[in-house]
Amino acid sequence: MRYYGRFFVFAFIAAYVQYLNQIFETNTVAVIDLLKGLSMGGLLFHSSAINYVTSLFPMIILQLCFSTYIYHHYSTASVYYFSRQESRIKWYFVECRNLYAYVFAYTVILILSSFLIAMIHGQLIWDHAGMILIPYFLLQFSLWNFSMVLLINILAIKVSNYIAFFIVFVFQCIQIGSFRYFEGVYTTDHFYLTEGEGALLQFVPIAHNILGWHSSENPIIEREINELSIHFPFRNTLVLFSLITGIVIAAGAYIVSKHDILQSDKEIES
Amino acid sequence: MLNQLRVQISAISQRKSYQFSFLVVFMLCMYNYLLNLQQFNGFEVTNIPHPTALLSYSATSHVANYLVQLFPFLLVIPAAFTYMTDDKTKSIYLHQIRGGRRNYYASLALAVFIMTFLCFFIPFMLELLLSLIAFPTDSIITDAGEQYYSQAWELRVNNYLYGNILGMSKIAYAVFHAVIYSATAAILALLLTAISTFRIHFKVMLFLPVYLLLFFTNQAGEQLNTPVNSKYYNYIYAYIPSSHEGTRYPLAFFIILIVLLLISLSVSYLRSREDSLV
Repeated sequence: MRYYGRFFVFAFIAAYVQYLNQIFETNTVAVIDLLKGLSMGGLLFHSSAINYVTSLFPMIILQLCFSTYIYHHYSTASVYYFSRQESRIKWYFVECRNLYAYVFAYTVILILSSFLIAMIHGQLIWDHAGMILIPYFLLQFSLWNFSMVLLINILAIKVSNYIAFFIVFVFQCIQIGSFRYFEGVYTTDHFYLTEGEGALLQFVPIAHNILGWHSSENPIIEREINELSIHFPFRNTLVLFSLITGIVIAAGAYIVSKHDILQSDKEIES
Repeated sequence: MLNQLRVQISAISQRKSYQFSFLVVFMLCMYNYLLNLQQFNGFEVTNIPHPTALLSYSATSHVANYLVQLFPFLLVIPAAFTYMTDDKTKSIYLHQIRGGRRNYYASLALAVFIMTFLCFFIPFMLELLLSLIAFPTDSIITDAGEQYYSQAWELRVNNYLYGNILGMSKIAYAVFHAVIYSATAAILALLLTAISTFRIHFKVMLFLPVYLLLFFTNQAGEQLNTPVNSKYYNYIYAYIPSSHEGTRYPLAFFIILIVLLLISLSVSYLRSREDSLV
């Protein structure tokens, strides 16, 4: 387990990188701005895809580092290892729980590091909207990344580990690429999406990671977010991410129960 | 040595990972080519840009953004895992017994370089060839829509890297950029091969060094407030004019590539001198 614990240092580095990437006018930063920065924020809607992927840095590092968490049991001495497990499904659910704990811990360290860096550089304002959104960000970030990491792990059992990571990365890039098909409306000082486009945007799962695009019934939060002036409630995100997580867990359980561990090691192949 | 190299190249080309990455680059190039055909369908010949300005590794291509994002990962897959695969399958001992330890490392480095280079270069050249057939080579429209050799063009051409080559021949310029692009990928793959000779548990972790290297060099120029353009894609993509992102220094870029190449070769050389029984 110590092997995976060392990757938490990347949470601090990612928080620092995201802090530097944000352009703050003063050294006084509010919690809500930090959270928006950590969730691919601070970008114009039609920003270059390169900028989006740059802002994916904390997620890519997390997905890369934990991409072997479950899979590594299948790569070396798997027959011996699984001969000692009474139920493979039970083992799988325990591994999922532990993996989620790691992803959640990474998210907590990411947020705390971000606060710490902001306090070192200047002053951190504990604003009301930001404080309310901290638990939401924790859930949203950890659920999406947990489902992606788990997807990489279960795909890796069937294809090579690096191919699994590459496929999931491309899957996320394609979703980001789809943003350019939303035309929106430009006015002199504002950009917004039409009602139809706003509804359509919610079918792009990665868009739910961007905190600044959401809407809220709480006027204090609404004032700080909803950059696209659309109806994009937080509950939709939590429902969608829970659904994706559930599907990935179920698919993983099926693959784990059916996979023949006598099949050759994918690390050795190709 | 040559026999070893032939064996290594043959082994890499038969691996699924090589075929997969070749297919990805090839499909991106063909996707870009088909989108170009669709985009300029029914256009007057005089309104179609020169084919070299439409290539997938040109700044304004349909897939340029995707290629930039996939580049740090795509360059690893073709051949950088070769040492790890040889080590895990124990075929490394067969190679070393047959041709000697030094020959193995030398042929490995050469094979990784050649195969990674070709993985990018061949699809690029195929796309160039198809574009030269499909689009008018005597086009007088640039990628920016202005006429070649007009005053606006003269101003722009000086803003491109290697603009003197572009001034002489557009096709030579396209081939030159394809070589730079492929060679950059090959040198980085070679660096990863050298890193992989140390103990790395999982192949996927080999994505990390180059991803971090390219990410932090991209960030460096902005964060350190230097006037230097440190983004690697501004040096390898065709038709990128100078921009607000800082001044480009192609010589410095080439020196960095050569330093990385020397580091990779030195590591391979030192590893080849170690006694494998110790």
